[in-house]
Amino acid sequence: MERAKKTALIAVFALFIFGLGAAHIVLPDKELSYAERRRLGKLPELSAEDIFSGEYFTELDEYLLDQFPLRDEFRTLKAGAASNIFFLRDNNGLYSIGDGIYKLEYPLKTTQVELAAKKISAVIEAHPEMGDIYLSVIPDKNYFVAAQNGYLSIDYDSMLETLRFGVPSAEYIDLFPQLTLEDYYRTDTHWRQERLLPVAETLCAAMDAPFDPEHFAESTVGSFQGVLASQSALKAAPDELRILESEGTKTALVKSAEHELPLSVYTLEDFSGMEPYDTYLSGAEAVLTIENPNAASDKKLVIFRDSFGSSLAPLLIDSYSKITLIDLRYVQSAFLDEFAEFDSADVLFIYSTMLLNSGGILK
Amino acid sequence: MLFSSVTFLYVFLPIVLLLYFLVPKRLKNHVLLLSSLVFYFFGEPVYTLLLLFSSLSDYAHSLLIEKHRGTKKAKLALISSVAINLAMLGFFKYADFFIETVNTLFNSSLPLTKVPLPIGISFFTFQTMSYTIDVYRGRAHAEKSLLTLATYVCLFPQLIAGPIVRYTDISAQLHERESTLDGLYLGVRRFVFGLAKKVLIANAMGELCAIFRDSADKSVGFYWVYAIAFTLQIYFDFSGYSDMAIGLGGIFGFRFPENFNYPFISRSITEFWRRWHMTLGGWFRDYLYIPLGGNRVSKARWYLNIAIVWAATGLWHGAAWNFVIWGLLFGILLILEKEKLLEGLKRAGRILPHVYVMLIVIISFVIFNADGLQGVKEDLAGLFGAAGLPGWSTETGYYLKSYAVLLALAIIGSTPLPKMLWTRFAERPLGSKLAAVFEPLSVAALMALVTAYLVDGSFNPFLYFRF
Repeated sequence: MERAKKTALIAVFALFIFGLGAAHIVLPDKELSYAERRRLGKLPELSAEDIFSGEYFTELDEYLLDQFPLRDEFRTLKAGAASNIFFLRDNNGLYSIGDGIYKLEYPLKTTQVELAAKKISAVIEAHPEMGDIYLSVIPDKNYFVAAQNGYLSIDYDSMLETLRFGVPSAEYIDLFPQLTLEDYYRTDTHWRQERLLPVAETLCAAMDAPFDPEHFAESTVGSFQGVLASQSALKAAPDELRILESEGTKTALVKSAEHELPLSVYTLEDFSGMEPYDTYLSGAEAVLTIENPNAASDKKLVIFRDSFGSSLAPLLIDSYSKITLIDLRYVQSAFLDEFAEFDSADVLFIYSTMLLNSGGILK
Repeated sequence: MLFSSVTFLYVFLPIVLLLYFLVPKRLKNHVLLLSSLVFYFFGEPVYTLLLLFSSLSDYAHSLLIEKHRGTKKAKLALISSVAINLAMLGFFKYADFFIETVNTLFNSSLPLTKVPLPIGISFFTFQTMSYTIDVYRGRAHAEKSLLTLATYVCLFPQLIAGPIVRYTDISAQLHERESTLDGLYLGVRRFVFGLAKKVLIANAMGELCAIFRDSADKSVGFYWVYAIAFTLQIYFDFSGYSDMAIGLGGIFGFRFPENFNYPFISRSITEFWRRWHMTLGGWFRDYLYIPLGGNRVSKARWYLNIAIVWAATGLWHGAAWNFVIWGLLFGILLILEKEKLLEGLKRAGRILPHVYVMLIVIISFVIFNADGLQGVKEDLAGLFGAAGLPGWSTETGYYLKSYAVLLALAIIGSTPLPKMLWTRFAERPLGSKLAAVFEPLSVAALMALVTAYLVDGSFNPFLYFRF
């Protein structure tokens, strides 16, 4: 019995180090990790300089970790152990309540919010030709669950006060009462377009633009695992990505400063890519213009936005003849005149609390 | 290369084990030396030459000592060997500390060398010094084979983080050793448990300490949570590494000395240092304290000897004044215990001495981990409510709750209780049968968990997708 126990213990250990080691060599390397939304490390090229500087070994470590056999399964095991064995409240800053997954947004970085306010104010001051100026904030999912469930939560009132104090020239449109937890994907950080008609209505009412929710018809693109499910490595029921279509979304002309060919409002081919949410207005774009000659008004709108704006803007296409979307993470504010016309246009600054809490990234 | 890395576990170790067990006996030291050099080269490509120089220097010096035994030449060779080792240590580890101190004292601006510290230099220089000193004292014969001595100096299981293995501990095994089923079984089991201590407990405590350091919502309570977490981190980190080293040594047929023996159950600081980093304590006792005269001198000189040994112990751990303070704090307490305190502690029952030891140890590790003298001041002020912080904060409560299970596991795991319970269980007839299944299963579970934690450590999502 003793001998069998000792042999079995040694065999288990050998199976791990030799088995997984061999699998690492035999299995082909992967290019991308869909779970982590990134490219995986490649076997570094040998060079004397890299070897003697130690760089080669650092890269080799990264490569071996990135290409480890059953990597996603091991990450799931770690996430499960963290919450079910060690009872950590969050794993890598992610936590789940019911079937929803959340990422801690903590602490409140007032300096970052001030930087965002400063940047917005500077843009406004640099363009006196702007028409009416509005400011709005999208709460992240934590707003609805964190504090109530004993998770760390930022002081949202304080954040809004800092922002509004820093941007006195903009009229604030409060979206917080319009939103509930159900308006967000369970497995993703973003809000669900099909639930945003009240938000669009509130914005249009405040900006004195026509809006008719009856224009829109809902259709399902498919189910997907959002970025939070991927990051958490936890098994979660998928979300459904749906789109709201109108005559405007079908006929509008979408142009990007980065692409020669026109784009679509909904790029369905992006749904099966690394980031399904890119289905809305092609995802990350520095500057986009959407023109709709059949809009209910000839008003123009410039939206300064983050990724939340991608799913919101299509709902405003029927209300404005031209919408310009600007993402200040990807374009320097000093060069805005090259891409956008502000002449008497309504201007809406709308950002998520997550972005405002990292406001320094606005250029 | 760290033992707790995918590169070591799944690339380096399988290759080395395969080679080691495939080659004939006469080539086993060749495999160990070559793999040890590769192991060191992976982390310190250039400093591998330093390691080879150290081996060569001590090899030559020990032969000289043996050749001229009993003459002045032997003494000169010993002085030369020790001086070379201390010079290496002094230059690479303490030069900038010395320059900074001079600059502070004399308001000068001497440039720093900014030479990176070779990994493990404190360990391998102490090991090689013990070797030449033991050869001089006649406790060991000079090793005739450079390969064998270099294998001892470079031996990767204990090269970078101990235990400090003296040549006399393993000289016989360097020439003749067997890899038995028992040795392999005990070695693998010890290695895996050490790995789990490091990856599952020490790293988690490290995360908690990092969270505390980054927190903008500190409180007195959070300082104490941090102090306890760091004390547990350093214990599980260091003792876990020692377990891995001893385990690996066992796999290759070596018997390394123990380095930790449940230090947190101590009831005096004297006892604590008999249980904590035992090989370092033993080294300073045999190669510094006793040569200084130990306690067979006047009381004043005895105190001075203790102060020297503990200042050196502090400095060994790091080139900064907080380490000196840390060492001297223990020196003072040991003197106090030798005077009257120890007797008082023996009469104080079971709980009070234990509370005294843990309080001192926890505070001492706050000093140990502080960022210089200013850091010591700030951290102690935070710990004792003199930094103007609230007693408690939202973050303190959140992270204490979050890490409560891990903290409890770590506290229980640092005592002999789990081992005691397991031994009692395994001694029973049914327990023995279940252990035959449970032990291999627990190794499998721990290897899977450790691998999962290591793989997840590289998790690095692209930040754009946060928004």
